[in-house]
Amino acid sequence: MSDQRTLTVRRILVAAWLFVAIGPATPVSAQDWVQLTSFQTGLFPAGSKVRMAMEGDQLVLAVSHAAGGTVEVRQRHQGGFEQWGIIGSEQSTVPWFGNAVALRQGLLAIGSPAAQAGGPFTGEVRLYALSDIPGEDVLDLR
Amino acid sequence: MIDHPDRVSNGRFGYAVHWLGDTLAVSAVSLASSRSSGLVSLFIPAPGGYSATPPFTLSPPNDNVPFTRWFGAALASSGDRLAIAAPFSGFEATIDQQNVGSIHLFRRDPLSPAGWTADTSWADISVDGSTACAFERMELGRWGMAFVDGGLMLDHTRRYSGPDGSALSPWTVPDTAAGACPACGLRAVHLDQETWDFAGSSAPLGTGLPFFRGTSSGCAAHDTLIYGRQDPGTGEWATVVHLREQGGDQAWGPSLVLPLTDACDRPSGPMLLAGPFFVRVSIRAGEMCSVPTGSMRLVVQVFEP
Repeated sequence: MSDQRTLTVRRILVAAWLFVAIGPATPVSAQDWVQLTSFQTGLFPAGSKVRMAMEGDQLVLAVSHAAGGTVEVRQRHQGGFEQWGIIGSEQSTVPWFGNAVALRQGLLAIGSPAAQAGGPFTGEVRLYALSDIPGEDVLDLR
Repeated sequence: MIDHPDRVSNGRFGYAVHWLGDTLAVSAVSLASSRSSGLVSLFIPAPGGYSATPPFTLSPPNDNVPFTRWFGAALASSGDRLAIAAPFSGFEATIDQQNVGSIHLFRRDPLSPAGWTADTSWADISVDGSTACAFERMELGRWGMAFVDGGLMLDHTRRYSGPDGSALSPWTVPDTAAGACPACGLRAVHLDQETWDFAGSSAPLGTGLPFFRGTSSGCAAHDTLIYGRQDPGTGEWATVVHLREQGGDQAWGPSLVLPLTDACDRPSGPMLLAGPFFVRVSIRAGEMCSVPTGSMRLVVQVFEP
């Protein structure tokens, strides 16, 4: 059996074990919607702005405020079955870093409209490529 | 890093970013051009990165509203259509009361240098009945927009007073007192064949403060609309799922309310519908919820239909 198949089988077994151990996702309504999971973040200054973007199994969560911002990239099943673990993150002291985010085919655009490179509220956009290098932060500034 | 080629102070470049295929649209909501305020630039892939050369820029036509302020505050697209909100547009730049807001739609046009051409624009120019010779103070699309099958959903905020906005958006935000903003609503504009029926648009979910937030605290795709609604009396939030045609043609009847997980659950943050997932953000605050004063904590909840 190839290493890749071995890894796949292990993942299935782990997922099955977790499903039995934790139980199925909790139904939240009598109709169709089921809550798969939830996760919480650290603390941020009150009044921070929150933005999200998503593509496939990758979720981008951006929290920005006057003193900077944090952008996290999370991946489904990272860290366990139905866990959305962090696979990359970027912090900045640029004011309102992450006021806008957009993700497409592994390219993440992060807008910071209060960046002061050319004067107050000049603004800037940083573009990151989400790499797939194991063990490394996936955010590579492009 | 991407800079606007004509970057200036207070341009607020990067206020909104949006992918249009492999083209990145970036708004600079305060960048002035002629009598407009706000530009949306399109960056195309080029060797070594993304380039705005030549600077493909979308600017609003000035036929309906002379002043388009904060053009690019919200961007939405679907296929060959692009909607850009200029929520603080008006007829007189120095008079807030003549703030009517506007929405500008563009269509893909391979013959246009920018690849997009102006389709139509909307502004609600209702006359304020309580004040002679004044327009209703109104904003369209401030809180976001979303295309659905056969239409566009956008927020509609009218005649309110409230606290000042932030440095990023220095405009009054709606008063949260019960009874405030009686005409606020989430507006549905129907696309009939190739014709937008803005004049016949409606607020299918109802009007009033709970509905002002538009699609920044809700989300829509195809025939599903999920909406964050705040009770003006208790201040509590609920997440309501609406399905189109529920209750009649073009109706968006309520389908169900997603329950809260505990007493600290306050799903007032952004939401999104993407692929099979619905994601909402609960913002926790207060020492009763183990969050120190002056801080907040996020709980992200992922749902699947």
